[in-house]
Amino acid sequence: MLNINQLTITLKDKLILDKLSLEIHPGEIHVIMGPNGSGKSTLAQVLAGNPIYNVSNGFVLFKGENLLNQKPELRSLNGLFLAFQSPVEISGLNNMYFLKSMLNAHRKFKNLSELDSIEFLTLIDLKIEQLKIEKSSLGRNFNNGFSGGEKKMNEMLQILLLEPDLIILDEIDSGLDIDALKLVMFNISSLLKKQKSFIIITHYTKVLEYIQPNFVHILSHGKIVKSGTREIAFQIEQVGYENIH
Amino acid sequence: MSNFLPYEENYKYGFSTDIESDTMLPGINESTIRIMSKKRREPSWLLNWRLKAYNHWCSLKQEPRWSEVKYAPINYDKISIFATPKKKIDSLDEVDPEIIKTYQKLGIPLHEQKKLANVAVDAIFDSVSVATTFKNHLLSLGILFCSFSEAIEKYPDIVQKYLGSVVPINDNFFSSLNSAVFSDGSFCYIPENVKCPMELSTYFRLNNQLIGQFERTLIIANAGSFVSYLEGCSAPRRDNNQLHAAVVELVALGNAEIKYATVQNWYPGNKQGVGGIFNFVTKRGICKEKSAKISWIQIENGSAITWKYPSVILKGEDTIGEFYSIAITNGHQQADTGSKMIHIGSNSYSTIISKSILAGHSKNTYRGLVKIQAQATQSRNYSQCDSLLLSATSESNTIPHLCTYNDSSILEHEASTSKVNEDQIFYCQQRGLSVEESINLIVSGFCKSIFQKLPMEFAVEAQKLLSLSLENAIG
Amino acid sequence: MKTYIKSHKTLNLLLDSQSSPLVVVEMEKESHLFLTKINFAKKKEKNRIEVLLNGENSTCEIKVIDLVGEDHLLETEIFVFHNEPNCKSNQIHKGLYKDSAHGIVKSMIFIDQKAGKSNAMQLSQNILLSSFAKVSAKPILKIKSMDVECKHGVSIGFIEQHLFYYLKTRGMSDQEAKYLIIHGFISDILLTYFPSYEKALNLWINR
Repeated sequence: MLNINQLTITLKDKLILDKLSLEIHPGEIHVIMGPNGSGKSTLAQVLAGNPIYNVSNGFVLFKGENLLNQKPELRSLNGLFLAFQSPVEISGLNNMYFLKSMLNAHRKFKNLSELDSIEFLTLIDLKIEQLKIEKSSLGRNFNNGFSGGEKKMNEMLQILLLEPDLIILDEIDSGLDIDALKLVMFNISSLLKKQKSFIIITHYTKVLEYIQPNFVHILSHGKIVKSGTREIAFQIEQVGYENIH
Repeated sequence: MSNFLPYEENYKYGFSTDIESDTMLPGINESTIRIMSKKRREPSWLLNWRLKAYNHWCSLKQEPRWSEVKYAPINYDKISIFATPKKKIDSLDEVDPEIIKTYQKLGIPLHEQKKLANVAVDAIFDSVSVATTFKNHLLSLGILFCSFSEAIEKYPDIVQKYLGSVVPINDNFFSSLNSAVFSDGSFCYIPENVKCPMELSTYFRLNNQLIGQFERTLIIANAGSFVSYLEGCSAPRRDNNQLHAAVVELVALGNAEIKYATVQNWYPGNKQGVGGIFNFVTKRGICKEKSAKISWIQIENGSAITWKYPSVILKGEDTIGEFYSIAITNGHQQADTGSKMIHIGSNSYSTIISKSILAGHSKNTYRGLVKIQAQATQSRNYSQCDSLLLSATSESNTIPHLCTYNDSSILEHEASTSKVNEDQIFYCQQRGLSVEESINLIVSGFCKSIFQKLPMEFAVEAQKLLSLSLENAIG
Repeated sequence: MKTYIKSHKTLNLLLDSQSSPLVVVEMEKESHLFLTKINFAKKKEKNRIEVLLNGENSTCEIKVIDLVGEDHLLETEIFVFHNEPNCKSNQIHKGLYKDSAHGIVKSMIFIDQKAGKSNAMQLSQNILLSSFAKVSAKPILKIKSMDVECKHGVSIGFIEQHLFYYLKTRGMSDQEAKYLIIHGFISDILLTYFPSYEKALNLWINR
């Protein structure tokens, strides 16, 4: 699914990711942990194609194709999804209208007919039910005045609508209360059954209580310093990042 | 009929047939005005009024130079003031393919396309009868809605009473010019306590009453009445005339409300900035009596040059004036637009919300004046002007002027200028939308508060137009 | 009389009614300006502050208090020119007008085409203390660059009666209440920069 090879990233001459390599197969969950500034979010942003970062070395294959020369929208259309750590707000833009535009862009790409408002409503009703999202939030402006948790649930809603193949969750747990987190993790489990792959970026071990990752990677100063099972995550909880070698 | 000049039965040239000799007499002078007025069988007061305006215009010598727009001098000697009928085209094949493309994108049906492109309408769609049906329905309610020429002929007393009462003939260079030579336009009169049941629009009579270069509109809403008026149609319109100098006057009496919406989408010139219409318009309304309300709503995305400041004089107590505007400029367009709110009556309220979007090499200036006079106690104004920059080569100016002469009123003004947010674009791209689609979503969100003020079906078209004019906006 | 300063580091300028009516500060690379002014207007005057951000990464913070009374006319102009990239400016103007005073406030933010990453703020708050006083404000934004974050705000108002009422229910006289409210309006600038002017303010209000 995803093959990251010797990826080196700089931002304004500062080295952020240093020869990072990682391979992810369909149906796998990779958890990436690390202290602030270790480069976790950068990895997510670079995979999604944020133009502010410079790729100075290495390559990334996504479904066997060169990812890094694809525009952000093409990466999305090809099935890569990033749930942002802090999703943007767009004032005046109706949430439902945004979601519909997004889904139809993907349907058009797959040569499927675009959904009209009524078809879309039927579909979205189902999805918000799954996430127990208030229907009224669809009528609000996109993320405008949403709480941190509501924004994260809105990201989750987009995942359920698109069912992408590789899902990167950048601190999905922050801002969510325990019930919402359980709900998110439950939905992730059902997506796993469809052979979707996950990169879960997190600070805390909390999410690991609900899912069984294939790998946990510890990122520090732009490098993966340790990889293993979820046991190492619990180890960190005890000794802190500084003492992991 | 005493108001009318004696009509010379044997006058050699019937107005409608005398195209050739009309075009042979360009130039704006006393004699052309006299001939035109005579041909139009206008009453003597109107001729005198025109001449007075003409004399004032002559004394002004040149156009106002205070605005931010720049253009080559206009040669007034070359302008023919006779309403020259626009050339009819026989089939759509002769229409500029660019226009047809735009129509198709807008989803305008073929027979409408023909009508809008000024192709002689065939029998499928009889616009004249449609217009007449509406007219009769309105007439049964006592609403007078017709062309300005028809109004001069049929309702001379009303026209005489209100013409120039809001925009006097000596108001400014272009309004004086318009007053001297205006050809036609719309007239609308709503009797007391009548709520006009439909949106009135020039659209209905686009084909049978061609509007000239010097358009004149007069809307009178009597006490307790309501009218919503839509100006122009939202289809792009190419025109050989360079200069358009229109005047719109609105009169709202006690408790009356006038809503005036414009979607202006005239030819902006080509990509190099050549050609296009110069649009110098004076629009003003007066809330003459207690509790009257006037709202201006405008979506500006046409013209090479726009120069207009729809204004409200809040004369009565408890009156309300509103101005909602979206001005979008691309290519080499220049817009200098805004509003004036003059508070005279006490407890009067005004709101100005202006959104500018700049792309290409365009220049967009918000210019406004809010004046709360000493007797306008306990009045309020709120103004908000936001500019969104899509291009590094555009120029944005915000020039508000706020003054108050009493200590019981509140004036608030806020403005911001910023470029389109790159994080928002990246986010939308991550969801599979192209940069253009992303910007469209962001811009329509930026403009939403204004779109909401438009009548429903109009808002949809306006939004489509917006995305059309944003095409290739990102360099 | 004109004051012209060319600055290349951090500069603190405190001005008052005695200062020159025209102050021009030209800012070089990485310099910072803190300009604060309190002005009790005389008869008829025109004051102008002009800041030219002519070097990258420079910043300026301008705070001006105008107090205009009697039949005086005060014209205040505050112009900031962003001529180079990465500069930041912030203007705050507060005006108080009593008797039959007349205030004219003109302010401008200019951003040159090459002045990318500019951040500029402009705020003018005006309070009329008499029904014969008048104010006219003309805040201008002239922006030729795209990469900007620019905002301005103007308000013209009066002391709301409910504020007065509240203070009076706490046992204050009209004068005391007025003083307290006006003091509150400008105290952030007054107390930090011009503590010695408190007495003058009291005098001005009661005159």
